[in-house]
Amino acid sequence: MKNLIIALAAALAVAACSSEPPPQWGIEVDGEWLLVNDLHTHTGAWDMMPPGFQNRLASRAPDALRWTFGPVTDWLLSPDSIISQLNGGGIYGAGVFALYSPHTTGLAPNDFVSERVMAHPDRLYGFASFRADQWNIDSAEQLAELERGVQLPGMVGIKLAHAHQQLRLDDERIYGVYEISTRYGKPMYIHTGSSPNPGTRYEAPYADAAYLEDAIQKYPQAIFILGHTGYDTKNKALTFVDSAIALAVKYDNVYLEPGALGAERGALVIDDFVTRLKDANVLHKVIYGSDGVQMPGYVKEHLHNYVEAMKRNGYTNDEMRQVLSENFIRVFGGLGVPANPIADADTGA
Amino acid sequence: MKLLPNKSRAVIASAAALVILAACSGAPEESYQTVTLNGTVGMQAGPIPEGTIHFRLYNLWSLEGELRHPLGEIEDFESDTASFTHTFEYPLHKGEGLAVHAWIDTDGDGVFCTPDVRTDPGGLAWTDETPNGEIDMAITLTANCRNGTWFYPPAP
Repeated sequence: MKNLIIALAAALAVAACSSEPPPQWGIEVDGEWLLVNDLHTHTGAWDMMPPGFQNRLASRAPDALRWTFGPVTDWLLSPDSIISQLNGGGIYGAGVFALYSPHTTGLAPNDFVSERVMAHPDRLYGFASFRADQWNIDSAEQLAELERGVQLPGMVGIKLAHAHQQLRLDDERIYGVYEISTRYGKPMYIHTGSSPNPGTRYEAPYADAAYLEDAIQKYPQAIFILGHTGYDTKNKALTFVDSAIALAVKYDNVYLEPGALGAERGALVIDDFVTRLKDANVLHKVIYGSDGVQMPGYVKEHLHNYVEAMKRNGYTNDEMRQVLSENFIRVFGGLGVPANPIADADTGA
Repeated sequence: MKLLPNKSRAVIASAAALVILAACSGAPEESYQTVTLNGTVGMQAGPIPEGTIHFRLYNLWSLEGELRHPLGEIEDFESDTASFTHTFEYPLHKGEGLAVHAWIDTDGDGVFCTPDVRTDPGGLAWTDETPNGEIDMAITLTANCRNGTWFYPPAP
């Protein structure tokens, strides 16, 4: 009976918060519409999250409502909710990440993610991952699972989060992952910088992309997208940003993603951040992402804040277009292009 | 297609929240016990290099089911000597067993190896037993620049 009530409440919440696609995809800047794709969103389920992460999520609610966060989180992370959040921001497509981080944010297995992105295959793109916490004894099994994962329907890339998976960025035991990325032509999103999530490793060997340089050199055909561009969100500082930018300058196969810089926590550093990217002439290698969906309205607010920062700091529309969609479309072989820039209200595509 | 006007959405969302509030149960209780760790740090061969020794304590295994994993972090501490005593609150509710990782900051930069300077030795000692009261452990530093997950679980 309890489960029935919860399911009913969650279904009502989904229905109540559904939204239509916007009249026009993208965001308007000086009268011009710029298409937007969001490389970085998450799905998941409350029961697959460790208690520390559950507590962090629930802490966003008033004390009396914290117990609601299980079904609310399940709803927020559902494919229909992700699409709804994207619609709210005018964002067309989004990467959705598998996770195997039992120490920190929990599990979102490859099959789970594949099924979810296939609910909206034109707009949601899956990233496969692997479990690393017992690597010394099951690496062959985990690499086989990753290889299977990247071939599942809707999977377009690979997600790694060394700091969540308790792996140093210079740990050569996982070079087989980079080999799979190369062989299947699946770009890798690699979390760099710190994270406020409990259990995350925040020391330099887990956060500073400089520790990845050996792998970047050894796998020149693999694409390394440095998630968060080394943003030290725990300390609200750009601690490891310059070394991430330096790698993007130096290596053709390195890209950058600004996830969470547009969040409230990033307000004090976002102008410095977007200026560093522009001054380094790496805007052709920046792929926009938000680290959503987090809360209703987050992806829209993140996009708004990031675009405003680019405008304040002298980005041209061409530069913004590169960051917001063109680099994504190029790296992912044409994904993220709507059949019609005017949204179809009947199909959501 | 808009299904409901804004006011109705707010009413339904509020009602849903209250239903769920009533339906859900409480969180697991936290439980700790005080443990005093008496330890020594040594090299596989030769004298121990100079430098601050950094330690990290773990539950050897944490959580249950699909989330069960090795090396759940408890806390960090430091020592300037190879023999040390450290008292801490062991989180019984998070798991069982104890592991201790140690590394020596031989170049004094505060970082456990950089991409270019790879001279800081590390090692891990562990026990399947959940500690209670005092426990003695000896940590042998066997590999430079290696964290806890490099050592445990050990390869077959």
